[in-house]
Amino acid sequence: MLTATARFGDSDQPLRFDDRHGIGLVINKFGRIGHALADYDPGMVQRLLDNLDLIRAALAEHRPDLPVYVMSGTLLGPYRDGRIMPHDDDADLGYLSPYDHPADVVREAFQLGRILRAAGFEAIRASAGHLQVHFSHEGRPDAYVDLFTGFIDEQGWWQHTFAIRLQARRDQVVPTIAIDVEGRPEPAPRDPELMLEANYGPGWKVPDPSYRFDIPRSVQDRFWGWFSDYGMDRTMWEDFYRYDIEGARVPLGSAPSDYARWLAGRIPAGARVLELGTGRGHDALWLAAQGFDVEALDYVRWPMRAAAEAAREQGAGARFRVLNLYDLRRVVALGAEMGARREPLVVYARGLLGNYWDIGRPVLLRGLSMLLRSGGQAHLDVPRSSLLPQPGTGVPMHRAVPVETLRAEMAPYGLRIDALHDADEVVEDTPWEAGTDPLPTTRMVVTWQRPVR
Amino acid sequence: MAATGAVKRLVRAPAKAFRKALFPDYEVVLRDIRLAFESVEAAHRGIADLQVENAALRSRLDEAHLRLDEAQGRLDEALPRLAEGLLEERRLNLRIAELTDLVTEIVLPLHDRDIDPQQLQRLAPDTL
Repeated sequence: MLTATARFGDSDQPLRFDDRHGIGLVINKFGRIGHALADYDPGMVQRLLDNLDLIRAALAEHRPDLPVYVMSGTLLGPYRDGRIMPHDDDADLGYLSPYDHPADVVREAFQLGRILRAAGFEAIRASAGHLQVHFSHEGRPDAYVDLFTGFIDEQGWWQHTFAIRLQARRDQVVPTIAIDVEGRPEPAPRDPELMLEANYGPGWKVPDPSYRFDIPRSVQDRFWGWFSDYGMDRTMWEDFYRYDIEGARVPLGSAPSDYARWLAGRIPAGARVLELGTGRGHDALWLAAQGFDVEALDYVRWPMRAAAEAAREQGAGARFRVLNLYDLRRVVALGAEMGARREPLVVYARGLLGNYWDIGRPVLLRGLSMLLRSGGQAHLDVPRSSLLPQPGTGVPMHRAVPVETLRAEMAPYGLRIDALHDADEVVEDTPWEAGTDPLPTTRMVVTWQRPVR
Repeated sequence: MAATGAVKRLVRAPAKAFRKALFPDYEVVLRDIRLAFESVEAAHRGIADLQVENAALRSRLDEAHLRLDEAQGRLDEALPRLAEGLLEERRLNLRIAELTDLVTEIVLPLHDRDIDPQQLQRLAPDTL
């Protein structure tokens, strides 16, 4: 290792890499900016383990038969020396499903997600086989707990998100044993070393803070196929809003986009508006202030809370909720909920399609076809040139999608593009260096037509 | 002629004795040379046979290469389709789970009150 001392500017203070709350930041094992447990306050580890135990208790109450155990970093550190690793960034739980078929395993995982939500946890779905349970402490985001899904298939392969696939017998995993984690007994897989080697390779006994996962393609492909990815850049967007201090200084609702102003002049006064992918909620709050009945959603959590709070303070009446547009089940439920009101709806999605992965479009279009059944229009824009067409590191994608592609994809859902409008819009409030030059976009007006049977 | 024959008969025995004294293995060498010539002839025949066989094998190898190239081409073409099909098949599991979850957790609870007992009676009987 090479070390050197450097000075930035003329300050004598040591350089710090902190978030807005003063909590230190690290580059984590996924190559992204994140937090290490050692950078939090001294009570962090015990608080994290308390939270982990609460999750175990909630699961045990409803599923006493389900073996839940610590795994990944929360098994590795404590199994070596009884301590949580200071450079770790979360706590990890896993469970062994009684099912051996991926479809049954996923159905059960959905049910476990509901159990945790009903118990009051902020459980977000990272994949059909991975939940993240988030916590706050004194108004700040605290370290989270992962819940990973494991099962043994009928060929005897122990598959465990997100890095384990090996031949194993059920009796090598359960019944669990107890290991010491920072002075408290926690359940662990029956043969911890089997899991540790599968997770970290044969060198797991030697601490390696720079460890990076190298998951075989055969494992990645299976988990992608069976469990998909419900996050799809969510972490990156959340990180962006979390660390974008400059953007957070702009009073919410004070910076509507050109598109929102344009829309306001084209829809009936007081119309019901549903904004998809609202981000910080500037447009939604501004539209509400213009007298529209606005509901807005996004899959990023902190901006939704901030926007809801701003709406309350401003008396704007806009409602905000966290909803993941990659989650078919949530989108269909939203469509049913909105459709039940039997009123025309204006759906507004600015800057969504350019950042929305192809895998989600059938879900979005299914949702639109439900949302527009009682009439109304969807207003969506799509960039005509790409800022970042290929996935980057730590930055979400941004790319053009041809209107004709969208038109063809919409048709089977009864969706029709009724009008196209070219626009030039400055893309601000994004993780990219978009500059101040306007980006050419196409605004689409979409309606739903009842299919002829 | 008779005289020449007589000379030869007279000389043959001493010459043979002389040759035997000077080169005792003459007969053996002579026999070996004949054998060697025969071997060379056999080798030539073998080489010719091998060349024919080699040409046939070369021809078969060329054909095999062609077939292998064709098969490799088909495999290269098929592998992405297979991988895509495998992914599609794996994703069907997720789709089944999502749809089952939707039906049991949303569709049925939402429409519970709409169940018409008369419609229920009209459902086709299923296997016992």
